[in-house]
Amino acid sequence: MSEHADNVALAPAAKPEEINASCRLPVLFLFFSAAVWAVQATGVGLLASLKMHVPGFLADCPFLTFGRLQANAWVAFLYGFAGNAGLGLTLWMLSRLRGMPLARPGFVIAGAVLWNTGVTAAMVGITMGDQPGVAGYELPAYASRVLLIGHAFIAFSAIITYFSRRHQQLYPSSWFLIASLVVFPWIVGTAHWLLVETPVRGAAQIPVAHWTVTSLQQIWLGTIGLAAIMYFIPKITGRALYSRQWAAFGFWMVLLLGGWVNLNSGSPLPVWSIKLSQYASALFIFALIAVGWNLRQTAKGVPLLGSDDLTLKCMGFALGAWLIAGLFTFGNACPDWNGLLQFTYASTAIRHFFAWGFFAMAMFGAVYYVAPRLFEGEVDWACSGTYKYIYWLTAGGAVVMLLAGVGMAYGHGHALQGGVDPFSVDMMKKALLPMRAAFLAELAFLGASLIFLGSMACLLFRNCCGDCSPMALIRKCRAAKAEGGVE
Amino acid sequence: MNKSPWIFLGVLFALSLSWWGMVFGPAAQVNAAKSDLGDGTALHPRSGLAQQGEQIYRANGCYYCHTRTATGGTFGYELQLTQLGEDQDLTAEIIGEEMFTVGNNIFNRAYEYKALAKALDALKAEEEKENGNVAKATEQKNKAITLAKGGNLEENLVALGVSGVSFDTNVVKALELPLEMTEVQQAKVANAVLPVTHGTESWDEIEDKVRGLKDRAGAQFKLLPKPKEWPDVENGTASRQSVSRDYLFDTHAMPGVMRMGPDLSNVGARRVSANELYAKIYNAQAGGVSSHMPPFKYLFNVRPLKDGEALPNGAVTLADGASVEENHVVTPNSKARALVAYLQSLRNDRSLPEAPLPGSIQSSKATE
Amino acid sequence: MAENQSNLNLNEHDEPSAGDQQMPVSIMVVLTLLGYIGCYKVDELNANFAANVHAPFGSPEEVASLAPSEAELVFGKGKQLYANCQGCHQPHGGGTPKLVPPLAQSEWVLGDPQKAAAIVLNGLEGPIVVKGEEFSAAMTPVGAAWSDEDIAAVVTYIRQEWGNGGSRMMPEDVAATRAKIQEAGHTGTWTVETLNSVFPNE
Repeated sequence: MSEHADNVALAPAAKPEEINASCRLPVLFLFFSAAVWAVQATGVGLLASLKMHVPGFLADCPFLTFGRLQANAWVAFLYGFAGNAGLGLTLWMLSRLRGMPLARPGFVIAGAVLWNTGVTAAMVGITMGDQPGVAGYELPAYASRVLLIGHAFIAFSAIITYFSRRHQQLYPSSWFLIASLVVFPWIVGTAHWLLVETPVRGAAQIPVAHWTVTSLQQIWLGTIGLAAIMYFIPKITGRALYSRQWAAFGFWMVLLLGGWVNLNSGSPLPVWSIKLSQYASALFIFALIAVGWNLRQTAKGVPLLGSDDLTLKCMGFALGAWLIAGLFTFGNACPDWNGLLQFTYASTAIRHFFAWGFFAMAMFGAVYYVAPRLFEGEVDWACSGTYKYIYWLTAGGAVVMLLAGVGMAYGHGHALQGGVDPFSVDMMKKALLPMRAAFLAELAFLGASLIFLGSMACLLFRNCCGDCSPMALIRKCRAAKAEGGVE
Repeated sequence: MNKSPWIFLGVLFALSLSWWGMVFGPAAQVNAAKSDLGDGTALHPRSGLAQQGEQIYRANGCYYCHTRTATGGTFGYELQLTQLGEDQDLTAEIIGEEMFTVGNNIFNRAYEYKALAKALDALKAEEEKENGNVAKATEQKNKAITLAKGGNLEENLVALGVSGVSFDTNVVKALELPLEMTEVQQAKVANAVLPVTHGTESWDEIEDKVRGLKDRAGAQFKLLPKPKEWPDVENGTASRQSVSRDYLFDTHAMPGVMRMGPDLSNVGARRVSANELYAKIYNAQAGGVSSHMPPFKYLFNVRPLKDGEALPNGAVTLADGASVEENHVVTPNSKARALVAYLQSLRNDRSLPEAPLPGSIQSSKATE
Repeated sequence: MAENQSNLNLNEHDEPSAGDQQMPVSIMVVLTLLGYIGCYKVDELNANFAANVHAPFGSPEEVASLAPSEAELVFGKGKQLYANCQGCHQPHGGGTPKLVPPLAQSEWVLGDPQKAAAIVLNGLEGPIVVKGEEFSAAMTPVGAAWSDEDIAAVVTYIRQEWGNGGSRMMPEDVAATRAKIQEAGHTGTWTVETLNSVFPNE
């Protein structure tokens, strides 16, 4: 903006190729790690789901209880997949939006190694029984320390890049990205100190845990995912974002309300915190209106889901999923609605719907766009045809998760509200039904993750070996009698 | 929003709001919470074994499928007048015109008694002074006694109770009330009340009446909460709703997320024996029970039963006394013992001042 | 690198920019109004941010009106302490014929509370006549080490339970009792005579 033009002389923007090249190694490393963790997350998640069908499955191994697998799956998704993919995308988008090459890529590599070490440590720790007892925040103390240091390294590089060219008008996505970098250490730091390192008194842990879990989801994942959506929809359609003001309004609403919303009406907390949370949940509709309206006006006339461009399709679906999940948040403002679903599978289903339908979908779309550009000469996906199955599997899984998880949880909710003996077979069946149905969704997510990992591997492989179409690859593998490098 | 530092500051400020509201605020409040229950007793921390059990519960992720959060329902309130205020019109206004007409007879009579007692007190004072108008006081007294004699005995007794007026023996004689009352009559006087609401009204509906009776009319009343729709209490899961102080001594509070299995907030009070819990944890399906709880056999020591050996004491058995694993002796290891100690420490059958038991609060006393 | 099967458009648009559309004033007004109504509602429902108000209750007054009164708590405490007495006096307060006098409707209990407190403090050796019958067993000084509050609570309890309907004894009265005993220079267990000499009937 002209008002700060006197601050710093306008530095010339770097060429996109230059920026891509600067991001190459660190961002690809993060993306590839994300793909590996996605498979890990969905695989472990599927094992956990299997236990709902066959309770005796793997029951004799103390390291593979349902609780431990579920915790592992979420950690692998949240920090392994979402963290790696989100951070990689943050670095690339910030560099692009600032028009400057990524500063200090060495720090990013170091940070990424630390980050992945942290995730591994968390998973080993959970398997050994070190989870802190909060569904949604399962990091043992040592793991969160490593994650925080790793994040600091990566954020350092991102922020240096961000400040390297100060006067340019900031595109809304960069607010979101900066916010995501700032909030993560705060959220995890709070949980680390108040829940694990020096736990506050038992009763006080409940609100802290809720704030942590909902902030990680709504603010941390929310800001990164929305940044991607707000970047790619205008970028690919070649239009300008409809309104900065609407974007700013949505931004502050997400940031202000993200930590308050979704407290269950039956939480064992004083009435005031529940009422405040319901108020915040009601206000969350403003965020939905702001973001939804802004992007709708931006993409007016463009069929997002029907688009030929896979990235645009993914972003469209992700936006829709964010809005639907947001509507459930809005619904939590109503004590009757929330009271019905609070102890059913619904809240977990919505969390998974948000994680996959919104966040993972946005990441898949973004990676589809970004990853090929990171290579010298900008190679294409080896098997671009298969990438679209990631979209379909994720979308299908998300829809099943929503319908099965929430729709079928109704029966369970009604049963809990009266009439059905809580120790009866009837109640058990009602409780299990949504979870069993969600198994299909988990299967779809696993498929999507496998294809994602395969595509990433193909892309990397091809960059080294030239021709790497699947058939060529298979021929090569056969000829060499080597183990397939795809998976 | 183009100056970078403002974004940083803004983000910090925005997040700090929810941090203060959801982290600092409640944590500060709970830190100030006392374990004292106000009656000289206190909530106690868990035993060492149960504390270890909490770690087993946490490490195995039991909190994923079991909640420890019982929810409450609603109350309707029955408001009963036990002592009249001084001002009949004010009391009538507060409890409502409608109630006033329904209870008209008793209500008027109770106030007459009240007036009578006052008149008698005044008379006594006058007589003691010996310079007042004795004749006028006597006339007042006789008038009052005539009034009071109007109703039948039962009504008199009720009116006595409601007004809470105490008469000395002479007055009782003058009113021709029995000096030696039967136990039934005594109880009737002691328990006489005037119902103002019937137990369906919510607190919001009676709040003004309660305040008015207490602060303006100076009356006394009983407040009887009638629980309505308490599913968790009705179906035997819990004794009352869970409140924050139930988690005061948890090392890691695990209120839980979903009820794949039953809620455990009151499992220690459900009269479930340790053996039953062991059997459930060892293999929930044992004995043909339909359940989807995974078996946790690794928390137990299992050895084959020798030929002709009787099942030793302490072996985990089913309800019919047979071993939980056929031809095997199953005994809990230290982890299972700790876990069961923890489960047995989970109970909310104790009334807290902020969460009375919906079943027992009926015995609430008269409010001053 | 021009792959034939490529359907990826590697030519990209410039970095996106944001338009300057203003939010309509009407929407701002509506949102502000809604926010205000919500604030008002929260203000109404927040129970003054009290730590002890949990669902289903809505206000500190409601919780306070259900919590036991001080008198009830004292009675409850006395009931707990009575566990030390019920071995002889029985849970129903009826005592044991010929040995332990009853407490229900006993003139010793319903009379001067200081006298009752003195018995709890120092114990009493029979014989004693209660409700026209003579009882012979000796009572140990069960309350010798109890605080004033405890003794007041247990005396209050026996004065009010079993339809006794007596008044509440305050801890100050127990202190006064102790002072009287000390003044009289009495030590050891009471007999009916010594008790009546220190606490004469009015």
